[in-house]
Amino acid sequence: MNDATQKQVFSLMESVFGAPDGTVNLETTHDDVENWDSLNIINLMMSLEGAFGVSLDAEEAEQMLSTALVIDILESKGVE
Amino acid sequence: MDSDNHATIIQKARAYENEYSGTALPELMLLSSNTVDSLAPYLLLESVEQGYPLKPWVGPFNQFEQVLYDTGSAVWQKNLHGIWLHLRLEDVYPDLVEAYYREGPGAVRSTFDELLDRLDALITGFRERTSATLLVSNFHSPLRLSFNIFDANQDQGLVYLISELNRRLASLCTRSADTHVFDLAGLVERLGREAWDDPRLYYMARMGFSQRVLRPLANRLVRSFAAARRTSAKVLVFDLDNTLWGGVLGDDGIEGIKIGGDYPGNIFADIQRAALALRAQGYLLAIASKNDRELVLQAFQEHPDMLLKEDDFSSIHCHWEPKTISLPHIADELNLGLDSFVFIDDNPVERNMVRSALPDVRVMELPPEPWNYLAALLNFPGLDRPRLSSEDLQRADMYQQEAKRTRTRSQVSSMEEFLSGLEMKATVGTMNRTTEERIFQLINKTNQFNLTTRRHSLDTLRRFAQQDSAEVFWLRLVDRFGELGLIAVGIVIEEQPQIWGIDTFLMSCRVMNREIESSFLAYVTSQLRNRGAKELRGYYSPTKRNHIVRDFYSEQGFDAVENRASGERVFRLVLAETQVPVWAGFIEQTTRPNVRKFHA
Repeated sequence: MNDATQKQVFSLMESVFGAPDGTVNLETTHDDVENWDSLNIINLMMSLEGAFGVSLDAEEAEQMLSTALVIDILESKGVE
Repeated sequence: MDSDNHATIIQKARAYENEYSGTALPELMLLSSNTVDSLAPYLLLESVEQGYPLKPWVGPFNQFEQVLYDTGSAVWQKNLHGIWLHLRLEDVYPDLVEAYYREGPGAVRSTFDELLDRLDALITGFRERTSATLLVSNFHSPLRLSFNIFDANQDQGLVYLISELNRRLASLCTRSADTHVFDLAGLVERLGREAWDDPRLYYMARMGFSQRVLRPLANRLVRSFAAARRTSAKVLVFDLDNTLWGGVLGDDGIEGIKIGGDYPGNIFADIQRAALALRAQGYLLAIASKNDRELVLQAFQEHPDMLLKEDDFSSIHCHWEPKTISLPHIADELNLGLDSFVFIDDNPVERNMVRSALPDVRVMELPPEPWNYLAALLNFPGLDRPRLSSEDLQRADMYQQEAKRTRTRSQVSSMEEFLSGLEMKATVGTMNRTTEERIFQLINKTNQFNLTTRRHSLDTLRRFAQQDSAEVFWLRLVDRFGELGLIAVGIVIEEQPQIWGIDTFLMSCRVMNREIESSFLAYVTSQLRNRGAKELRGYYSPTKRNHIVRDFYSEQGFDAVENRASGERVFRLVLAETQVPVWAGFIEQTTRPNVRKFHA
């Protein structure tokens, strides 16, 4: 995934979780972010689908427990 | 990023939340039988954009009566302006479509009678508790019904039974003050039944609608609340050329303007019909147009397809002066304030002039295409009027007196009555092969009602189940509405001889406030007592999400004995003492025969 897309993913996650700008990076996991809960995973899923025109299934949503995993899933859908 | 991306909406809503953090905004309580948390940011955004900022508060999922009868709840301290009661047939009666085919229309009718009684009790209860506007969603048909091509072929088909239900709901709401049907079914119809649902989100998160309907749903909800709380407009001031007819009267002459007949005259005929209908509903019509007055009056009189006539207007201002002068004149003539005026003009320059010079006037934004004018007119929030207020008040008084005299047996008026009415049946037991998978899942995903949040592996759980000095208990629940499944888990470990520690105590949030938790604790306690336990120790380990159970053990009669540096709190219950948790009488208990350890 290129840097610009990566940045877009980070800022989208910051919006969904209400995390300050610049705090989400490649190392972030659900343990580091207060609002990374099941409700916000659904919110993240809807946001990613809208932003990247992909469709995520339930299993993929459940796996979204770190930034790295989110990016892996997007890359597997062809997001560059 | 796209301006209507879900994340953008969340971010904008959060910004508004901060902006209004010092203001006591009126609050809007959402009570729903499915998950509506994702709707909250859309509501905040819509409310700010519609000029009626509201703070949404999402009540506990599927707990209508619990919220109503819990007088101590913090929600009753709020500045509530609105309550949305949203029950969905699929949630309330998961078996409805199947029951219809199995048992026929009569059975469904009595189910609906029961549902209306429940809503009646809720409406009466909320009405006694608060003056907030109540909006009650009407019912759309379950998605799976729409796959049946012949249901509408039966005169007693489920489609008709549901529309009958909606009609009865409407008359129920009419009897109660400031209580209105929220026309959810109408919105579903407008947006399309299939587009409404996202089965994936429903099965994953119990969301009753797809992401793409969140915006229009929030829009309609805010509009409905705003309409009920604010005064609607009283006067519609129209421009003429290219607004009430096509073309320019001064240039094209009476024969040349487009009204009636085929395109584009048919567009303006529909606008005139809509204006006449608004007049019939009590709105005053007026004209502010840069035109020759005599020619205009002649056009109204002589054009054969003109539907509006001179007499339909309360005031006609046709001249070449600016409209910012006409409008105050009309206001003086009618003795009404400009804040009750709506201004409708196809020319954006005129609209902007009125907007900046007369900020009290509500200016209707018209799309560039005339064929979309009608939708803009009918969709305009300033014209929403739930119902006539004087009639409303009279009916409400009558209803309230009636309600005090007779309250039918099927209505409940207290938490106890509600809970007994649920006809809950619990089965309790200890973990075995058939229950271990679900127990493992609950242990690893329950965050809120979870005292210690210890995430055990399946191997550890199996070891607990096999040891004599540990046990894994569970509880399954069924109520009159259906199966809720295995929803509570308790793990106990003998820490010292005859002293048992509660390693894990958790419950699914779906069944909070039904006294399941104290009953389950009573069961665990009695099991341990049978085993010779003298003392129980309870632990509370705080996490970011489990503050609701912070005082659970104190509420259950345990003594607080220690606050550890880690934040963990330790509680103790001496079993010889009389005050131990008791099983709630209204929950029927069945015990799964214990195959292995306890009575061996």
